[in-house]
Amino acid sequence: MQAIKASSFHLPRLNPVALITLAAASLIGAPVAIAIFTGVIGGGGDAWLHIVSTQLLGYTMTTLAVIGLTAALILLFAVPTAWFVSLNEFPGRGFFEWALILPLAAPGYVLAYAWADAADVAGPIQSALRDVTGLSARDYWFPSVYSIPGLSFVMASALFPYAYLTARAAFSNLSLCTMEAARSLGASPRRLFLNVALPAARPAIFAGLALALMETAADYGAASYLGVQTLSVGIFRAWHSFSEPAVAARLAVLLILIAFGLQFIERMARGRGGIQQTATRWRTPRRQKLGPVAGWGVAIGCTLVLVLSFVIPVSRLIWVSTETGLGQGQIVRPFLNSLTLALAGSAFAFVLALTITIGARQNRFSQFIGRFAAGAGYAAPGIVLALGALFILSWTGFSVAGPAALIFLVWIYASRFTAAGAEPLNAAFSRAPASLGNAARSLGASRFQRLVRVDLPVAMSGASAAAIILFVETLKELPATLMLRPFNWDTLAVQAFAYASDERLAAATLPSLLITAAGLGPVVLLSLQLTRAGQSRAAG
Amino acid sequence: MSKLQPIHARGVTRRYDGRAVVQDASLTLEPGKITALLGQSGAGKSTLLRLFAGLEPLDAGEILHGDVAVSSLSKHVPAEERQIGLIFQDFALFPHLNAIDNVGFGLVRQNKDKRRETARHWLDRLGLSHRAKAYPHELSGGEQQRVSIARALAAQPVAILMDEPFSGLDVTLKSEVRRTALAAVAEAGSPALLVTHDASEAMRAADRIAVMSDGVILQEDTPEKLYLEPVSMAVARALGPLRSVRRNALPEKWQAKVPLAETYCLRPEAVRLDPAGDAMLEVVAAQRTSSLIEIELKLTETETIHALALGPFTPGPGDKLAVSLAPEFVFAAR
Repeated sequence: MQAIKASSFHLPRLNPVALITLAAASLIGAPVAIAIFTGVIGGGGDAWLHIVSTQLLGYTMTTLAVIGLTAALILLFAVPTAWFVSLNEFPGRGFFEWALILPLAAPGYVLAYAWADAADVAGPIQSALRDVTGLSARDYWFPSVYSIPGLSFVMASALFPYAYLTARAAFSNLSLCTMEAARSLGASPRRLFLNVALPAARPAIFAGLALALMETAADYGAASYLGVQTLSVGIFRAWHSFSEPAVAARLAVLLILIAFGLQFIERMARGRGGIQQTATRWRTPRRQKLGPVAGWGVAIGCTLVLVLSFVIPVSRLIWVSTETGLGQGQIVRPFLNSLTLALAGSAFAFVLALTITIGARQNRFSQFIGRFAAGAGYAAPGIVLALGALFILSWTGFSVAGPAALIFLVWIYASRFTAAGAEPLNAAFSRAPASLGNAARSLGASRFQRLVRVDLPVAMSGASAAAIILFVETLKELPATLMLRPFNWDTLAVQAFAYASDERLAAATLPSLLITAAGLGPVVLLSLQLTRAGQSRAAG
Repeated sequence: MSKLQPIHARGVTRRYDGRAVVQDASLTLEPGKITALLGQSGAGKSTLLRLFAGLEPLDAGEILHGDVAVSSLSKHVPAEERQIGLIFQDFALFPHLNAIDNVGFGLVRQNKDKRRETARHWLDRLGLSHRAKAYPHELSGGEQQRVSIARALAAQPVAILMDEPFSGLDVTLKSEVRRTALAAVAEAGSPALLVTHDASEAMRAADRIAVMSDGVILQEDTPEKLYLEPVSMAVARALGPLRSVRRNALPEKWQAKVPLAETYCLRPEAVRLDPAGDAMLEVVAAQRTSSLIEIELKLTETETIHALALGPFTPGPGDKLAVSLAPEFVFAAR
């Protein structure tokens, strides 16, 4: 697809495609625009001044500290594992290649509940420690999950696969010639990694990292449960506990600035190099076999990352739920509610994603406006978008408790996740030859016929991936659902959060496990697809 | 629109951001003939093809099908209404359709059976009837390009426009695919335009060649005429390698054979190994390149010329060879 050139960008004639894309982009971008507008224009009054003098610095510094620490942990988890899995042969490599993506299935808040229970004084880890050492609880120090480092660890566990995936792709795409040239110039494996591979993969690693950190900044469930006072928690509290939506909107602007700041840093880090692309004739380097000591050392390292990020928390949830029986709490209604909202939200997001993807093929204006709106919606935390929707609800006089709120919630899901759904649809087009549209034109196909006979079928080859991603993202969403759902309309995520917050972890496990199980399917699918793509590239 | 009429471009200009990428170009595509548009990348070849196809509006001039204007400042028939067959370097096959459905894509006015029959005929004509059910990703590059040519021809276009159609293919496949494809194009009888940067491809495939540089058509003629009577050094260079030599460096007998000029450009064929030759030159270096031997011969201390030879023996440096000059391959530099 052609890049947008500022010098040749013109407003197009108002053709139907541009108008439809503009309408879709407006729907996607409206909640974030309204939240920003209200935050900037609306006065916060005394409450805002009070927040500024007492809590603003704390919220901001805590959020930045969580982001910084999470970034460091993600790099620690993702980069070495990606390097060894891509370019080295060691025991279990084939398993770790896909298994290290599994943590993506569990949302951060679910890992937070599990870790809080597992690492509790009465939990299995500390109990085992006492059993082995014979110490009592007062005789030793144990790190608390209810802290900035604890939250950072939980978020890094849930989100490091983003950076792992992009780093793995970048390492696999390294040119054999570059690596062999470096080796022939006497580069040791360490220098090869630090001076050749890492700089080449840096843009891709930063792209994955930025995505993970935007999710970290947007998190409400884990931070709130672990009692870490981030901006998201502050926004929710300003709106819910203090009934100060104007203050919440001002805090939301700060959070958006942080999200956009992360995007900006990612672009800066990308530099002039851009993300390395795989050329058709690019040969993937052959994996180097590690010696037995190094090989088993790497295997143990990978195991440790997987156990800490996925195996311990998920098996703890399974243990608790089987120990206490699955009948804790009502599950059918929240399950059906989740299903209904996820289906409606993902369907709406899918239609919008399809509209902006096809619109982008038609003219540069549609391409720009669609991508800009989807990017803004994706960067904005769910809590901010929900705030935007609440402002619209109050201006239009609809009841927050009525069915209108549900429609708004579906809208917010679409606004937040359209970009994620557009990604696989775009990928479907990028795999297709660039001159497809002109070929269809030369064969007499009108604009409408091209849409129906070429663009839609080509986009639909990415449809199943888009639909699955959208469904799972919507199912996992917590803060916007928490703010916008009508009374008595709990979803699995909301119910898990409510039970966990009430210290009824046993009851929270089943909805948490259901969300994780729903996430596992697409993650395994994605993992298999990526592995197969890697194998066919290596074979080709 | 009726078939088998010439397509004319008359004084066509196209500008991007004020810069002319095609400037006052005039070219006629005759029915049953393949015209090659030859030039370096950035010469404006593909833009001129897009103007012929109606994929872009023009900024001056007109394009006519027979006597009917299809592009001018006041009129623009869109590409989908021109019945022009386009063939691209990236094949542009629809990934969701198999080979036979790709070929049948443009045949919407025919009923399903007739469409299948026509598509099958063209696949057969291009030697691909056994691959009818294969999807694009299951076909080799050469097969994909033949499907795309079958697709363009099946729609019975008023002209075939090919944009570097063989550049994406392996060298081993290229000549076979080109031969099959261009034979089918010629048989269809429509005017055909072949955009290429490869002089030998243009010479082999085309009935006429237009040499283009910086948006301007420098000369248009038969390959033979262009090769032997280029109007400028730029055209001569576009058609094949040249070697510059000062008049004073040439042996005296050769100076008498060529028109008066300060500098000449010689094709490698200008110098022939000839036992009855009128000059003896010393070999500086010689290299066999498959069937031909490239020989560098010393004229003066600082100047050499190249000769091509057939034969079993490669001469060595220092050997003296009798050579003669074929003046038809010598151009006076202007």
